[in-house]
Order: sequence, then structure tokens, then C-alpha cells
Amino acid sequence: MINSDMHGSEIKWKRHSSRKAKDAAARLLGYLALGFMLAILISIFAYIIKGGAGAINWNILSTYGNTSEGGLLNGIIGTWELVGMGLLFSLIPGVFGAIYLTQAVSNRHISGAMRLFTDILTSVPSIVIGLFGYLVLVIRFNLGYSLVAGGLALGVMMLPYIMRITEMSFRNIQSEQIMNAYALGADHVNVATRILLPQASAGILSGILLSVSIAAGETAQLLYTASFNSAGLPSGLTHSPVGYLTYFVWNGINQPSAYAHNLAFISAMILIISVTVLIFISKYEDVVGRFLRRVFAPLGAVINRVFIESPPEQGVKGKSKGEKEWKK
Amino acid sequence: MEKIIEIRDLKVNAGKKEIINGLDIDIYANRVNTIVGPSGGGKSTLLRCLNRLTDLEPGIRVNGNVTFQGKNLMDYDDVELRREIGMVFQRPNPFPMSIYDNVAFGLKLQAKVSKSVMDMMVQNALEEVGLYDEVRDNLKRHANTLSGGQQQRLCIARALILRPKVLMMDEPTSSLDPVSKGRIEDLIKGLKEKYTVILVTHDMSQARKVSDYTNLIYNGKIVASSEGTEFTDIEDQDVKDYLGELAE
Repeated sequence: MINSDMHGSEIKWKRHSSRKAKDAAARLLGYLALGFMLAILISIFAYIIKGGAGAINWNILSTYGNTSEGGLLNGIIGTWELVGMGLLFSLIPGVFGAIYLTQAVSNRHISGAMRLFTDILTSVPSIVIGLFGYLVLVIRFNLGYSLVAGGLALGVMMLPYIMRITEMSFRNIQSEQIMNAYALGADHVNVATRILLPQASAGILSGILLSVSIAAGETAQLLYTASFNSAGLPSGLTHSPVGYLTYFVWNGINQPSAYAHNLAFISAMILIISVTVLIFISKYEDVVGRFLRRVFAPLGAVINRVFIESPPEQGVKGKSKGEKEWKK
Repeated sequence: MEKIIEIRDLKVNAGKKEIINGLDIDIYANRVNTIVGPSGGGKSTLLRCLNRLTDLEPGIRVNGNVTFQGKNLMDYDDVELRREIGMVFQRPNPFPMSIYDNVAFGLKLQAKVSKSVMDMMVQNALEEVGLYDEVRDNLKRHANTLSGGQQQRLCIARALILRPKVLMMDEPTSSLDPVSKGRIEDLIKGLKEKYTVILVTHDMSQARKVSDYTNLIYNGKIVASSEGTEFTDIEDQDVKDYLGELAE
């Protein structure tokens, strides 16, 4: 039996001093972890920038080259071409997938499977995607080493990020608002275009920026699907290899020449700076967005007038004022 | 009194959970039909059955016999039904667009009208909720610049522009301050001239102010109905206790 008189039992209260000591220890551990991470990050940046900034010159940025001679221009342009191609393949399916996942009517089993597959997709090693891309895209579908093959291999990786971040920003929209749109006679397309997308544009943008910054730093799947092009830019969408910055890093550092090492450092520097800028933009997209809107507001007003507020269709002739023709 | 909606033996299940369990109710035309009951008692679900928003929720199963204007609810096209039975939600939820576009939203989707007719219809709808004079110079302003009470009246106007036969209101004043609440209650009393109103509330004083015919819902069933708001023939002790709490 437990003593039912709680005032009669002796309670040993914990001492405040021990709790405070525990707090202090936890805080110290937190600071140590933070310091450790910062030290690594700063030393990476310092090391790369020290190696890259000293060797950089306009000639390197403006000429084509391979890892031991010439410049990086084919790598710089090629990287963004590949990432752009990846975005082309991942943005539309990603956003549509997110719309499907958000709609109340979607089949639970299908949406569950979609979530599972995208989660698995994010954790498939990039070398495996590369191998698959090589065997299926480059060989089987006969695309050759090319922008399309490389873009698809990157797109597969970008898709889950875009889809999940877009879905998250859809989920922030009040569900009553969505139901109210249905209550006013909206169909699924109306709800997507008039309620979901306008409010999720910031979220979609940050999904794009994050996936782009991740894709820009990928190497393994590109080795298999884009190979490398030291002669310049790819001449077409298929059967034409593409250069990219991560290749300069990977291969340049293996070459026995100081010049190749410099190219590797400069490539690495360009990559980390662009990725940092992209992540910064996606974190502060509201600030950046406000700036962009101020700059583009006049242009936006014109677009709005021409495309969005286009004059509505005129009422059917012969109907008296106030009569409406309900859509069938 | 003319019945506009008759519900017989309505059952709603969400998975294995019964939300509404053999409910009968009559809705009378051009009256304020109030449904009072505790939270989680099935009030909102009942409304969502009537405009078939429940069709959009795959986990929900609805059974029973509902007639609206003498025709089975399932024989209506869902969008046409939602035009005839409008709905206002608990919290004001203007769409992310201008005041004008908010009011025009449903009409733009469902009808072909000229700009001048649209302007007139938007103005009429806003006048009906007493909002036009407050916003007439700012129709292009974003709707979320309005106060909470104004937003809720905007949402009512947005439903009225479709000229529904029935307007369902799901606790429309629960998130509003007393002054805005009073305005909406006055508005509800005026609406019954043109529309049939179904008002869900858990506020007995609101029911007393506006209700012509009151239904008490408890555990997914209508346990009492009466003209006015006085219930005399209740036997169940739980229901009596609930009414006692409401009266306090």
C-alpha cells in the first residue's frame, strides 16, 4: 500500500545547484559542437579560397580548357547547363507531384507510395544513379554522353527536394481556405492554380534553389552520363559530352602539375561561392524577393495587365443585364 | 412552413468512428435553422454532407436519404449543388487576392458574365453584407488588409454572389470580437428574407437572438427540435446537463 497521506511522507527535493551545473554542462557541450562545426566550415572556406583566389585570372575564367591547361569556361557554363537541364526534368513533375500529394481526394496508397519512393530517391547514392544513367540512358536509349543524359541523372536527384519542399509550403495553407474554394464550385485545377500555387511560390523557389545548389556540386553521376568535354561547349543535346566544374576538382588534383591544382582550387572556389549565394538567397528569399519585386514591379504590372487581367469574355448577346449563363 | 431539405437516417463514418449516427432533420425555407450542440458532436460534418464536401475526403463514408427541393442530393451535380447550397466557414479565410476578386471568385468559375454585370453582382453582394460602403474605394486592395469581422462579411458576400437557395454558416462568429459578432447576427436575421439559413453554433445566446427553428444535436443525433430555442421534452440526463451548462 502506498501511503495516501502525501503530507506525511518525507520528500527529498533535488538541489538547484545540481540542476544548474547540468544546464551549464549541456550549454558547454552545445557550444563545443557549434565551435567544432564552425571550425571545419571556416577552414574549408579559408583553404579553398586561399588556394583559388591567388591563382584566379580573367584568362582562366574566359577560355575553354581541360584539367591541365586552358581555362574553366566550359566547366562553368557546362555546370549550369546541366543543372538547368536537371531543373527542366524535375520542376514540373515535382510541383505536380506536390499538388497531387496535397489534394484531399488523392488516393492514400498512391500518395504514401510516392512519399516513400521520393524519400528512397534522396538516399540513393549518386554513383548508383550514375551507373543506372550510363547503362540505361547513355547505352540503352543511345543518348551518348550528353546534356540530356546528365540532366536526367541530376533531375532524378533534384525531384524529391522540389516535391517535398513544395508540398510543405502547400501544407501551410489553411485547409478551410481550400475547402471554401471547393464550396464555391472550384475544381481541382482551379484550387491548384488559384489557391495553392500563388501562395506557395516562395516555397517552390526555395525548393528550386536548394535542389540547384545540391545538383551543382554533384560529380559521380555526371562522370557516367556527361563524361567530360575539354574542347568547349556541347554541340547538341545528345551525343556530345559536357564539361563541369566538379570534374576539374576531381581530376585536376590528381594531375602532377601546379597549374592543374590551381584549376581545381578555382573550380572548388566558384562552386562553394555559388552554392553559398544560392542558399543565402533561399534563406532570405523574402528580402531578396522584395528587392526583386521593387526592381521588376513595372515589368510585373505590364505582364499582369497583358496576361492575367485579360478582359473577361463578354456576356451572351440578347440577355438582359444581370442574367447569367451558368456553365454546364 | 415549407421544408427545403429533409434528412432521414443520415450516417457518417470516418474509418471505424461514427460521427453521425442515424440523424433526422428538416430544414425550413426562409428561416434561420439553428443547429446547437457540443464540439465534436457532428455539426460541421452535417454541413459538409449537405454540400457534399465530404466527397472530397476519401476516408469518410456517408449513408442516408437526403432530399433538397424534392430531389435526392446525390442526383445533383456536385458543383451545381454547391452553387445552390453556399457555405461560410468558422474562421474568415479570404483568398490571397483582392477584395473584388474574392467576391467574384465563385461567379467567375461558374458563369460567363460580362465585366459590367460582374461589377454589379460584386457590388450587390457586398451591399447585402453591408460591406460595400466600407470598401467601395478599395476594391483592388488585398483582402487580408480587412479586419476580421470585415473578412467574415467578405466571405459571406463571396457565397451570396452565387445566389444560393441555402446558406450554411459554421460557427461564423466564433473568432470575432463582440461588435463584429453583433453585426453578423443582425445580418443573419436579414438574410432569411431571400435565403434559407442553416446556422451552426454552440452559443445559446446567439441562437436565442437569431433562430427561428432550433435543433439540438448530441452524439451524432438530433435529440430535440423546437420553434424558438426552448426545449421541453428532453429526457436524457447528459443532454439536460449539457443544456444546463449552455444556459450558464
